[in-house]
Amino acid sequence: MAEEQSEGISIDQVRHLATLARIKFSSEEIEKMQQELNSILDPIKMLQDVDTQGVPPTSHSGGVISVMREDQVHSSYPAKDMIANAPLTEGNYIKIKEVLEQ
Amino acid sequence: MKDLLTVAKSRHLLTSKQISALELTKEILRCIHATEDEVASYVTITEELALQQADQADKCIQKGQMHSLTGIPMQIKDNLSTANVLTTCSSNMLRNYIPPFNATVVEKLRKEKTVLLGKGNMDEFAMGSSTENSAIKRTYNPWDLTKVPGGSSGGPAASVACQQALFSLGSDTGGSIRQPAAFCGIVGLKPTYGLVSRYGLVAFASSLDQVGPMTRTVEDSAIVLRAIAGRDRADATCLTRTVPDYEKSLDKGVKGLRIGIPTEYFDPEIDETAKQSVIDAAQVLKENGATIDWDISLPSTKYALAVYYIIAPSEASANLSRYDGVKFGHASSGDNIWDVIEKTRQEGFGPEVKRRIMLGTHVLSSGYYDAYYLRASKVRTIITQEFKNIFKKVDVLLGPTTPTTAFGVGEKMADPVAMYKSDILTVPANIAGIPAISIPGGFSNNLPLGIQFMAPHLGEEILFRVGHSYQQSTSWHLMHPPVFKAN
Repeated sequence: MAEEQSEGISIDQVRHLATLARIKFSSEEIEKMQQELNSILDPIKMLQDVDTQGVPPTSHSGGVISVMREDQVHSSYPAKDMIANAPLTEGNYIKIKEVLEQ
Repeated sequence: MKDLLTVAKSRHLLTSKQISALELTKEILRCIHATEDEVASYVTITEELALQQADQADKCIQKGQMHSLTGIPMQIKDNLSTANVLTTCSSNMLRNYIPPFNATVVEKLRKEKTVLLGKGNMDEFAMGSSTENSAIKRTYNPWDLTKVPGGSSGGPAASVACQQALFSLGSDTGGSIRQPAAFCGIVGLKPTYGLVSRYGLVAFASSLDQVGPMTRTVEDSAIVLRAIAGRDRADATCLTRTVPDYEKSLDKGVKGLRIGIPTEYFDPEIDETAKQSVIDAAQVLKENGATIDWDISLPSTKYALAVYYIIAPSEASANLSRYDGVKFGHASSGDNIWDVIEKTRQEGFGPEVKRRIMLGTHVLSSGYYDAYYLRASKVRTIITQEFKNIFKKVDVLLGPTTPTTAFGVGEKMADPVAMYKSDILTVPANIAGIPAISIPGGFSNNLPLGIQFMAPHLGEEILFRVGHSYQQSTSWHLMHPPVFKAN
C-alpha cells in the first residue's frame, strides 16, 4: 500500500493484473490503463481517513441470510437449448481446447 | 392522442373498450418509427412479435381475462434476458446472444399479457452514465439531441420520454435507472434490494443491482412495480414478503409526513437550478401537509462514491469472468485455451468494462484487499447505519437526483472520473439497499431536472405517496419533448 500511495500502480503491476483478469492488451493500452487506474484510485484513497475501528463489514444489503425452500422436483431447460450458444459443441457437450498439456 | 399516454390511462381505454391492444400497439409503433432515427433508443425492435402479442392480449380482454398490464406495450432494457429475443447487453461480447430463458421479471410481464416492443439500449454491461459506452449505437436525449440521455438505462429513459414505450424496465446499480430518468424527464424507481428478482438480469454488481420500472408517472411506477416484485425461488436474495397493492397507497397524501433534506445534498458541486427545484418541491409538499426538516445531515455521503468504485468493480470482475469464449457469447480463436480466453475478452469487452474489471482485480488482489475492499465494506456499514439513524427522525429524504442536467454528447467520454461523479447523489441508496425514486422536478434551459426521494428499507409505499402527491400538484410530468410528434 505504501508503495502505491507514493507512486501509484506501475506498468508491471498493470501487466500482472491483465494476466489475472485474462485480458490481452497492447503495450499502448497497458500504458493508458496505468494512467486511468491511477486517476480512478486517487480519489478513492480518501477512505483511508475514515475511522473503521470496530466496524463490521457489509457485503450485502438485503438482510436475507439463509433461504430454505421445499425440495421439490421440477423440470429444467433442455440441454440442447442451454448449449445452443456455445461456439463449439459435440453432442450435448461443450467442446474446449486442451487445458492440461500432455 | 395529442397528450402522452400513461399506463393508467391506457389501461382505462382498454378496459372500457375505447381502444384495442392492437390499436394501442400500432400507435406506439408509429411513435417509434417517427422518432427512432433521431433518438436511437432501441437495440432490437420486435414489431412482429408485438403485433402477435397485442392480438393475443385482445383475445384475453374479450374473454374478460384481464390482468393489470394486459395489452400494455412496453420495452425491456437489453441486459434482461428475453427468451428467443436477442439480449446484447449493448456489448460485442453478447452481440449475437439469444437467451434460452426469460428473466423472472420478463416472465411475470409475459403472464400479464403485456406487449414486448423490443430491447432498450444501454451502456455496455450497465457500466456508464451516458449510454455512450454502448457497443451497438449512441442514444440521444429526446429533449435535446445534442445531449446524452444518461445511463446506463439511457435507451429505456429516452423511449419512455417520447412514447416509444408506455414503460420500460431498467436496472440500477449506482443510479442507472434514476440518473437517466432525471435527464429524460421521466419517473425512475430503484426498489429496495431484494424486492424484485434479479434472475435473468445479466449480473454486474450482485450486491447492488436491482431491476425497477421506468415510467411517465408515479402512478404507473406503482402499477408496474406490483407486477414485477415478489419472491422468486431462482433468486435466493429475493425477499419473501407479500407484495402490497401499491396503487392503494397513492392517494394517502403527505399530511403529517416528515421530509428531510440533508445538508450534504446542497453541496457546492450541485447546480443552483437543481437545488432550486428541491426547494420548490419542498414548498409544494409543505402546502400539501408535510413537514420539512432542513436541519439534518448524512456526513458519510462524501465517501459513498469511493465505496461504490471499490465494491462495484470488485463484484464485476468476478461476475464477468464467465465470458471466456467457451460457453456463450463472442469467441475468438487461438493456439490454446488461455489464448482463446484472453483474445475473446480483448475483442468482446469495451474500454469501460475493461477498466472496471482491471480496477476490481486490483482492489481484490493479494496485498490490497484489506486496504480497499475490506475497508470499503466497513464504510458501507457506516453509510447504511447513518441512513437507519436518520429515518428515526424523518420518513423520507429529498434531494436532487443529479448534480446537473443532461451533459453534452462526448463531453465526459475522455475523463472516466468526471463521468463517475454524475452518480454522486444516487449511489448511496444502492450501498444501503434502500428504495429511491427520481421524479421530474422542473426544467433548466429546456432540459429536465430530477428530484429524488429516498425511503427506509421496503418504504416504496412512502415514495409513491409523496411522489404522487407532488405530481398531483405539479405538471412537469405532463410536458413532452420536442421530438414527440402527436398523431
